[in-house]
Amino acid sequence: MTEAKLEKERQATQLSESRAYLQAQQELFLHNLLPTNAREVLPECQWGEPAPIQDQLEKDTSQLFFVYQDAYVARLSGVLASTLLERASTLVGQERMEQLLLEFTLRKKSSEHLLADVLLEFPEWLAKQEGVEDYLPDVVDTCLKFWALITGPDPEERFPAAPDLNCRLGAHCLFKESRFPLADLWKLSGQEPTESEGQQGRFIEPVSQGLLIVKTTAQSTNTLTVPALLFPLAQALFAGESLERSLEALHVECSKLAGEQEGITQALQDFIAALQQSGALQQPRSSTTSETVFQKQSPQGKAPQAGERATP
Amino acid sequence: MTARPAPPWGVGLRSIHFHEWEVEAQLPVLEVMSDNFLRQRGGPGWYHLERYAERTTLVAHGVGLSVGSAGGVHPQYLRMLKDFVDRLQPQVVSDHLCFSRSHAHNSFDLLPLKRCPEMLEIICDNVSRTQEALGRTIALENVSEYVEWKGNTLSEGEFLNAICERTGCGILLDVNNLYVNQVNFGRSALQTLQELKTSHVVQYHVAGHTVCDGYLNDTHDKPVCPEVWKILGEALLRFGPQPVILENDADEITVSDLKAEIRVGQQFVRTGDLSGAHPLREKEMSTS
Repeated sequence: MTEAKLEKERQATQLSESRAYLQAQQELFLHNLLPTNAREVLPECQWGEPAPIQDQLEKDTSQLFFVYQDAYVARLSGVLASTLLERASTLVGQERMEQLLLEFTLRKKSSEHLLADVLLEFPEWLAKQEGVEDYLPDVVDTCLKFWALITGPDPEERFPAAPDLNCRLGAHCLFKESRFPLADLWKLSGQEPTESEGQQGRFIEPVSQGLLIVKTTAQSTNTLTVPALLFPLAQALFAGESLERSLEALHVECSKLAGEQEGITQALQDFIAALQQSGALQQPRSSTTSETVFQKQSPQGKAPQAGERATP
Repeated sequence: MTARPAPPWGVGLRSIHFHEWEVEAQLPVLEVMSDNFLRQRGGPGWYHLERYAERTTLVAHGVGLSVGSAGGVHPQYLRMLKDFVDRLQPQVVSDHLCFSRSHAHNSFDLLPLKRCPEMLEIICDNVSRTQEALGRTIALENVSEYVEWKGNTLSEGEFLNAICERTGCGILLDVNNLYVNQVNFGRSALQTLQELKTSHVVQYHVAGHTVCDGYLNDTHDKPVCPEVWKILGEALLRFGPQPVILENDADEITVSDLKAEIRVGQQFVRTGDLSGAHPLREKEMSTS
């Protein structure tokens, strides 16, 4: 082996060793970002006890290490609470949301590339916690999905058309059902509580509700309330089924109920009209059917045929 | 007084100002935070960016590259960044000379690097990989620091020069960060300016900081202080009129406030007058 080749190999080994050494030092720095007091209150903490970083730092500067610890905490709680989860924060209060975020984010080391991704498991975690507002996991989950919808591809410009049975829900929609009045909460979540609400807490009627959000342009959305009776329809539409198939799904579910026909028919009419007006329904590209839902009205003109089929 | 060259002025773009900028007759250079857009494909952000791009120069600035990671830059992050840069076509693509993450842990912060020959090798390797992936050169920003590693053998200026010479990248000179480090560690900002090669600087940042007990914190939520304007003046004389971007992340800041702050900078560059600038507090004066 030539002298030059040996030298090159020696340099490569040296670089690899120094890389490993510097990597270990950086890991140690990161490991120390969890504030000491957080370790004491987080029994499930995955961080473990770090070696002291102070030995690696110039003595007269190491006392400012807390600046990095404070920034880490602020970024993972304050920033997320006031941006991505702003709507959820207005419901429970910014301080409470920050506290919950802190408990969640400090338990595990964040390895995601983007700050928003740290929250992917947050709704699931919230649902398992005692003392958390029942509705909060659903609202937080909606916040995350709403962000993905808003920043996703924009819809092409289109105008509401009379829905036919081949219509499907456009790609620019989000549907979330809940045991709680999610649509009401969502509308409320954009507003700060009034003084009395702040003191007594907000009264939220305990009804199941779904929320359907339609992204209509790059900058606008329409929000629809989905009554619990129509969850099977909305689920099927959101899963990509045609309106016809979705109505069948509703029909199957409704056949299990008794005495709800009138309510379902009216709710269905209202919902389909709202879907149409909001621009949520799209004609399939290959569709040749022009028969609309409302062309098939009964002689009395009360309910659409598809709706009638859906009633028990 | 030697005449300072007049640079193009700009601001860090924030979503709360999207609509305000839309109705402004003239737009400054707008600096877009890359990381906010790496996952975005549409929505209000891109809607406005595409409109601004028709009216002004855009530059891209990131916080998540972690070019100083000893474990290397992350290929997935590079792919996302490339998609963003290809679509935006900014005049400058920059990030920070720092590390943020290892493979197992992301701090989402700008953490200080050890300035030694071994780290230099790693950074040059990471910068080269980044530039290769993006198909263009990048600029690196000097960061504010609060601790120093033992074993620093290179000054900040030497470190930056060496990286630029070996990789062809540029420097985004953050004047406020030079000042923060001057107060926190006694590193002379003017000395660092003298060390830097004149051809490397492609852009400037100015910002405000918070005066804390015994140190400065680079919080970006205060007006630019006179000392920072003075360092910018020296930098303009030495490196030339590259775009100056004002960073201000305060919650309540408006476009009018940003424009007023830019006017302070313009006045200073033109006449040397700093009467409109944020007065230094006593404590800050005593530590500088």
